[in-house]
Amino acid sequence: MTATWTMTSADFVAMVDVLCADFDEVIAPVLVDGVIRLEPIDSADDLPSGATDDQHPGSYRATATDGAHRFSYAVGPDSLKALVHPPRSPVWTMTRDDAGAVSVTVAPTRPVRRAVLGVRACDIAGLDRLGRTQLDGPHPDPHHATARAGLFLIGVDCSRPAPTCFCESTGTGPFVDGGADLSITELDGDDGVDYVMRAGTEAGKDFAESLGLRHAEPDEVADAERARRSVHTNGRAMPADAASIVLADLEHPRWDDVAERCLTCGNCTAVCPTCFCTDNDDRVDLDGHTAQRDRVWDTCFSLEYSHLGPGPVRSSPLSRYRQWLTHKLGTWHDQFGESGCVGCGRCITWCPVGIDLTAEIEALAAPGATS
Amino acid sequence: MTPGDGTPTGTRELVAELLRNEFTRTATSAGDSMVVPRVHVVRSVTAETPGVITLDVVPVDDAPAPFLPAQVGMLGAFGIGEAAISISSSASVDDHHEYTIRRAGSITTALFELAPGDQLTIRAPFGRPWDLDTLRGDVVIAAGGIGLAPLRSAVYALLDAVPEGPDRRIVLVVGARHSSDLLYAGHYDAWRARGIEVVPTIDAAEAGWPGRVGLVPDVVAELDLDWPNASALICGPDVMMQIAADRMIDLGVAPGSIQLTLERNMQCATGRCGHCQLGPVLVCRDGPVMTYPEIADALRVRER
Repeated sequence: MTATWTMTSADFVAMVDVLCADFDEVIAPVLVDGVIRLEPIDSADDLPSGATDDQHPGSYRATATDGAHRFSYAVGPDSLKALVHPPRSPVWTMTRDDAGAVSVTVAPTRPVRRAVLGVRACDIAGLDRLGRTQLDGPHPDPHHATARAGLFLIGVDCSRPAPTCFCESTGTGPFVDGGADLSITELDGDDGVDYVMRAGTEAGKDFAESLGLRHAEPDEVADAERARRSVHTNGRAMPADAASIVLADLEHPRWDDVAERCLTCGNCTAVCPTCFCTDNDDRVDLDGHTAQRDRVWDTCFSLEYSHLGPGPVRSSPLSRYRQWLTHKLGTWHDQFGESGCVGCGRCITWCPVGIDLTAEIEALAAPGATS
Repeated sequence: MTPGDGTPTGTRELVAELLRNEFTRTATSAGDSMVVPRVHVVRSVTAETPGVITLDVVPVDDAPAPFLPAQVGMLGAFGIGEAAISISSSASVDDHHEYTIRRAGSITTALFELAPGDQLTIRAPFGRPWDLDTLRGDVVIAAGGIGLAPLRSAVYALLDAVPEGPDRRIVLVVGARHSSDLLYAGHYDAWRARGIEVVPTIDAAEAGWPGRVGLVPDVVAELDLDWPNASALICGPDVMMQIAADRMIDLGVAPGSIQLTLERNMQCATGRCGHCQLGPVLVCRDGPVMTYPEIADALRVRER
């Protein structure tokens, strides 16, 4: 039977103190510049207690409530992606001496023990899917593997999904069911909030036991189960056959329609928890003797992304939006054996013109005039 | 379905192993020649055609890595970037590698400035090679322009191999815009002497040109071969490969007997950066060589 504990609000505060003492870094939701981000914290005071959010296609607002809940909002723009697959990371340094002799120093992996508090089910799925792209091929990324190995994940069940997210339809939420070391359900309680916490791994169990928490009674476990299973996403859905829909007609008139709206800005790829594309950023010091390569996030919406000798393969916005959506929902299956979408809805919220991939799929499912 | 259901066991195992080792395994890349660049020195530079050179290179530390025809290396221009270039020398020659390079952008322009004795970094070899073991019957090798470079190692392999029978024909059709652009033209007579028919063709007539004029797919289609039993290796621009393959299929060649090699933007060459996608394929991981049925649908869509 799963080990389960109860926590008061004070117990939670004490747990965060232990995390901050035990780990090199503790990452949690923090209200920054009007957005709930994932940031390093020093104590439970840093969490956005009482905050919630209001998300719609192309719109995000963090707002205050009079409650004391610490997790009563949906995902912000940050997923776990940046922790294991940073926006910019060193690859190597090369030197060339006066005689022209070149030497290469590959950037060392830097183990960091990092606890992440308040991870949503969709982001746990996203972490796994991102990992598959970077670790399962013939040349796994050692930096990704090291960062992943250093993660201690404390999940939280979603209590208030946004209108933009749809994890129930993708089978990736809204409550945490595997993939985290510990997972928490936040409930109304005597001090405003109580918590029920479950172990997902031996490491999670050992950590929770070290806190001296009270084991949950069967009725408390049952109440928490009822509470977390009563939460549902808001009706938006990704169809189960999205892969065949998106690849069915690459000349469908809807591709022209969405290309008229898409700004090719790449916001969707930046906030997507699984979009993994990177570019090399090479530069050389002014003395000409030292060259540095960084790996930086790239986006399939840029012209340079598909550049070949004669020019970009995908010069039209249509072809670039089509590449993104067909890859995310379709050819990802061919390449990695699953969908690249975990239903978090970030690409809908953070699209400046509010393009909604579930609406695009619905439109693409209708026969095209040219078909 | 739960969030963990899609997790590949490979990822889990790798992570678990790292956890067990308490981070002692700090560099899984150690020894991976596609992750750690190897310093090479230029032995010689051959001017091939206008804007095309061949670099003859050796690693500074040890013997070159073995490779198979059509495999590729990432050639580094110091502080600028890397370009994916096919190894164009014979895979049975193990003391050096040759890379034939067309000057196109900033990286290849920098590679053009290399002189004998200069050092550069290379990550190699990678990619799926030509499947020469399954070649049956008459063999057509169709090359457009610089496309002969990844085919030259196949030519060498076929020259090395024992002929299947006296009636088997191996025909190399090489296309170029002008006669001066015909790659490796100085080698054609030697290849002919060893049993490969070489048919150079140029796009438009030139004074004094004794050979064929026409596009590669047209010249291929005019060959008198045992088409239903033939097989083909093609490299050139996407549209040239597609038309050549379709013409051969019309003549009776089995689609699966046609191999072609793809070019896409490559940044990592380790299957992780996403750039070289063509539909379902990651070219650096699944290609560059593909059989025509594997990639025909993706090639047919404009800007795929």
